[in-house]
Amino acid sequence: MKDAGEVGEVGEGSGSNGNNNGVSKIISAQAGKYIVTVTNEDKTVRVFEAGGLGELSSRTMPKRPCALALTDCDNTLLVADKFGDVYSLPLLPEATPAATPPTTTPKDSEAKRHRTEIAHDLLFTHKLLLGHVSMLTDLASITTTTPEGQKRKYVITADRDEHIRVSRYPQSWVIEGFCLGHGAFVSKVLVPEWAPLEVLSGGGDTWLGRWRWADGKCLQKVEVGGVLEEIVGKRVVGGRESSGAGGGAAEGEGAEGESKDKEEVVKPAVVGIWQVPQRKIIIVAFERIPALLLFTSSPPPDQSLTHHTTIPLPGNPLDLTVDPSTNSFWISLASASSSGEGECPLLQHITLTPNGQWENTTGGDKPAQAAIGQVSGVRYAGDAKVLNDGLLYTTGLLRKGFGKDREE
Amino acid sequence: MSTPTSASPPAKRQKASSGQRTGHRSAYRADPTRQGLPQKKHYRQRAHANPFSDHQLVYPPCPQEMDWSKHFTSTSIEEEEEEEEEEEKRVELADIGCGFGGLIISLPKVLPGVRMLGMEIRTQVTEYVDERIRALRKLEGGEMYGDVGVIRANAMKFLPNFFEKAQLRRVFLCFPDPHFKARKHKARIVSPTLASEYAYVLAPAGIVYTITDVEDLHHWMAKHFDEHPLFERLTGEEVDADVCVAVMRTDTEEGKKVERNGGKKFVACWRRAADPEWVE
Repeated sequence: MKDAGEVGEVGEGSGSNGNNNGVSKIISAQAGKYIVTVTNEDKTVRVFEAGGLGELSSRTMPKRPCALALTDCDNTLLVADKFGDVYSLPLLPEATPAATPPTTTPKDSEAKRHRTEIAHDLLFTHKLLLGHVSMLTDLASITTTTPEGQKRKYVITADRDEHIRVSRYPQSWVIEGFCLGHGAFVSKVLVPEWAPLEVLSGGGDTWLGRWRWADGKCLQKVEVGGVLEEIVGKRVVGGRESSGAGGGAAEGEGAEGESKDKEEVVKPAVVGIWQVPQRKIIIVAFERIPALLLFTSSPPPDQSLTHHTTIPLPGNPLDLTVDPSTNSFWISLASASSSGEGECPLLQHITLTPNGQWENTTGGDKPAQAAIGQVSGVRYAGDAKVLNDGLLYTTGLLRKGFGKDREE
Repeated sequence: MSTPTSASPPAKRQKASSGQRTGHRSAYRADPTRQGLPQKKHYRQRAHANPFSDHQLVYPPCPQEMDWSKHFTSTSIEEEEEEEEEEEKRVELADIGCGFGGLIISLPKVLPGVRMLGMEIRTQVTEYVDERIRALRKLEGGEMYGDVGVIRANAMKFLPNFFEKAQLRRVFLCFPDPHFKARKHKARIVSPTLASEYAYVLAPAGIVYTITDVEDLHHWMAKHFDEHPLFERLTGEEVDADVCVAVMRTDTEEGKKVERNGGKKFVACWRRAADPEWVE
């Protein structure tokens, strides 16, 4: 019911100067009945019916959306954007647009009105739920039931300034609390189906967080630095700044860990956290690290996470989707070579065997072969740097110091 | 290079034109022998700071990890006297965008013993307020400033890093930057979504105070607090009866400036309502 693969046809150029309107997010709703996508350049949320992929609606948001979630039994879409705001939209818009058409305001009062009102002039039903003064990175929606049988809904939002916020829904102006402690940006949050009172988080630190979101208590910091160091063979350093400790913006040059006279270090950046509920397995991927880390959850009440295994990949993981019926998952990949081109397959299929091992089933699986065949022709026509830094690997850029903020 | 002949004129004294750095301010600020209260003119800084940029801020990952001991002097003495683990006095009042600190310097007179914190995003202005508080503490009767502190912070982003839920009883938003352009509405200190964060740090019945000389901004702030379900407006009598309001009108630096220029001041205050019943 959740994510499907990310990064669709990039650079399917219409127009002479190329078009980078890639699909940046894709989820399915109502048990696969609908597919919801976000495209990057035009900031548009589109809903398709899954059968024939007919477009049911197309809604352009005021700012670039960065995450999608569903609530109200999958009838409401939550859209988080890079300006820090979360909007709710009905998954399927009503036949007649309920929103007021562009208000024909008299010109003379215009200037004054603009100072006291925020006019987005969105032509579809929408509600501004909440906002951070920071770039949002991810969001999750939770529905719990009280002992009395009442439904309690929450929205969890994560931002670039290390915050994980828990708000009520739909009374989203009540902030229930924060899960604080990350030393760098938070890029992903996930509420495991088997532990609905917990939220897992990952970002620019060398650990993953396990929190009790109701009161913000950190239950566990799952260290991953050592595991990552084994994979990359370099020192892995987390933290707030893009350069070394205390270095500040002046030193934060270029790509991560490329400082010449210093030891090469790798800065971790979580690109995804996924779950295989039947097996209580958490899968985590890091940017530009060609492997998946699998964690198992111990039985309740402890439910702590332990690193279980590492699955090496032929390329860098971009996104992943779990097929709960077969305990298998699909991963979309990009070539680990810097040119972005290469022999790397774009899709892999991995099955978890009953004895807790995993098996790469890409070869023997017919649907997998068919899917790989379909995407094998996908090539990005533009500049490799634009592809890498602009489209594929944007998580690490959340770390502070890249923008070279000037002190004033 | 050959040495110039003795006839060459002495190097022309660089005349500081407006905006040029001469170093006299930083020299003044760094002088350890300086006595008495600091002078504001040595801490001038431009009026705006971008609340969205990272700056190089120092802030705790969470309120529990904040070390308040270098900002306040009052409880450290008490703690020494009483050996048992007394809970540290908590900040109960925040002046967000405290500027040159006029308000928090005056408030102890009407709110003695209340621990209060000024928050200011501009480094040099913060430094001035800090020096001022330290100097005041040394003067006669300066003990009351032991509960007054200032910190450089971007309160729009990091309020929950400093304060726990419902920790504050009073929040002041005095003469904030109006950010006139509609496009910049999110940079304003009051926005519909940011009001929820003020509600989060305020205890039920806690009060948010606003004052401005920009009428449009007043309407903007009023609109968004009025519309926010967790805030209820204080009546005119309640506002007049509040001991802090008079101080806010007269003792903030901006308030004095508006007074001198004969400008109008718009005051509005709201009470933090209790969290409502859940709706499904």
